[in-house]
Amino acid sequence: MNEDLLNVRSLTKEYINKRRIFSRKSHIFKAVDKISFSIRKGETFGLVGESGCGKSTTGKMLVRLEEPTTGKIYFKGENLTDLNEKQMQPIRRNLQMIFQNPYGSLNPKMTLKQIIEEPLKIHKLAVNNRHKRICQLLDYVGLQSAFLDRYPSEFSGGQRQRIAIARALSLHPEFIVADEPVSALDVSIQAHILNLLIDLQKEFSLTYLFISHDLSVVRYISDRAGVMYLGKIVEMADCDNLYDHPLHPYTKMLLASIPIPDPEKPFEFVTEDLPGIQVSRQKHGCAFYPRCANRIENCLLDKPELKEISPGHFAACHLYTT
Amino acid sequence: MNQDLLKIEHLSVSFKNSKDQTHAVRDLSLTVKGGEVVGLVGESGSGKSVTARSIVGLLSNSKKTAVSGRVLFKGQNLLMNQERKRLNSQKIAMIFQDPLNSLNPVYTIGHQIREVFMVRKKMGKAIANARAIDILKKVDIQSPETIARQYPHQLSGGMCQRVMIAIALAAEPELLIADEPTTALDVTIQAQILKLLYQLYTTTKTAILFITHDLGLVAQFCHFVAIMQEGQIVEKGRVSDIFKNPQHPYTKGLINSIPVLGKKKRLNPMPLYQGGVHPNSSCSFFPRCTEIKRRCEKETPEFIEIEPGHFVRCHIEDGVSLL
Repeated sequence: MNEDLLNVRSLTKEYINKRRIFSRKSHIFKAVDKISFSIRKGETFGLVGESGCGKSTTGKMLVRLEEPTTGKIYFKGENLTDLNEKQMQPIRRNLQMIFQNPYGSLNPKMTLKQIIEEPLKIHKLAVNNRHKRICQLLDYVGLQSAFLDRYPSEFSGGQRQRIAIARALSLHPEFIVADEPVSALDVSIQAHILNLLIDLQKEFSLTYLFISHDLSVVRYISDRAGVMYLGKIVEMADCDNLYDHPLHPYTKMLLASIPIPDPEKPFEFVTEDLPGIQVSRQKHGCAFYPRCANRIENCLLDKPELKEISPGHFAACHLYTT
Repeated sequence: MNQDLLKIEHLSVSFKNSKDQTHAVRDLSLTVKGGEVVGLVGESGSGKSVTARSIVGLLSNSKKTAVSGRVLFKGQNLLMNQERKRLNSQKIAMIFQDPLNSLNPVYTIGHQIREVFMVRKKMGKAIANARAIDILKKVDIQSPETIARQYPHQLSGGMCQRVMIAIALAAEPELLIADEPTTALDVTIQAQILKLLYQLYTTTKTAILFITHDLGLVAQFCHFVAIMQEGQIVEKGRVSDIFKNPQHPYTKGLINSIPVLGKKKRLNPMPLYQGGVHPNSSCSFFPRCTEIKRRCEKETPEFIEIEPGHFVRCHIEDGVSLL
């Protein structure tokens, strides 16, 4: 259990905005800024943050759907960023992804059978008993094999997400990136998909990177989690620690913002009106400075690094280093 | 304050297409009193937005849409009299789920707020402009003069929603209908928008009909709640009653589907609709219900009051369980 399946070292993704007509410099936008973390075999690692914090970009880089600008991704000891497309292909089998929007991630012109068969064809798997394998996959995700000739448009959102999961499972992957797999779904369907993901993990000893903006969902499914803010991981710990003893002011702010379904706990409104995430892209010091409730003088001068505050609990904040 | 502000009686809305008829809202009755926040909860497709739209008269007037029942606003039926509807709509304002798409992209923010004052209150442009900036300040927008000159695409989602609220408030409504106002926003921004709505509620005592799919929001924000399923209200009552003592299997299923921070218990959601036979005579929740009684298949349940102010549409009290 304690073996690292995936190890990410100072991964960075920069997007270059094209030069405007008269400007001399091109603008570099750091979507992901030198993040490092590792995911152990068989665990679920959650990644939370507001929209635009770089969590999806991180997920896409791990399966090489986005090319990292710098940094290394070690999957079972092998650096994925060194490999070319051809060398990558046998490894892709082990790295699968489930996307947020089940309406956009399935080809509308392919039948359910074709959708699930395609990865098997590409990787030349189950040549002789393909039909049986497809039916088996549908069975895992709770769909009937009678649906095989239907098109994605004939399914509901929850069913489509099940199809996407079946497709991701078809190659026996070890690692699945689930990028907001339940945010487009209704609560009751969301609960079914979450339970399905947990059951499949137990059955096939899968490792997940679970990306979500919903902190309660991440807590429910993850063993460990990282909180991202503007391209950086600001806090990382196992879920119990992270949610019960949050250290970083941003984590505290996120937790305070969640409505709790209990009418006897009155809503504690975030006391100060803090500006939104867009405001706070600044070059020096802590990126969270403009929104932080506990800021100190040092925060504006010095960029805090992610440090281990207590065993297994990392935070990037000056409040805990001095 | 405890006057009935909005009273919906037996509202039914159905849409016809070439093949069949969809009953989006069926026999819905709901009351919003002055100074109250009422939540309307349900999954997508349960008819909550159609209900909201029929109150403000946003449903299309074509022959394919059939509306029956009464929507009384201060005693006047909004469905009957077109002229009355227009007059009353000044007292009812609505904010929508997608703030960016509900603002007009080709006019400045200032223009869109000013318009309300100029049309409704017949103010001159200069005064209307000053009032627009005032109201932007009220919804906690910093540097309102700059924002008023900007276009919707220049603002973030949270800012646009503030502007929407500003426009809604400009008419000084007595009833605000908020249709999933925070669904498209991040949690931190959601908290700010809720805080704003809460402040408005406490200062102006505007009644709010709060439509959402998030029971967590209802628990902390509303006084009363109605749970919708397949176009019907299946349970309604005080928020504390519903959360402490949910009766309808659908309500229980919804509450059991939410992951709660700090509890790692496995979620126990209700079964999904598998497209099974759905006899017209039965309860609409019959195909998904986990607590089927003998009567459920044959009889449509009545809306009964099980404790003062707490109504349930279910054969809970009588009948032998089939499971």
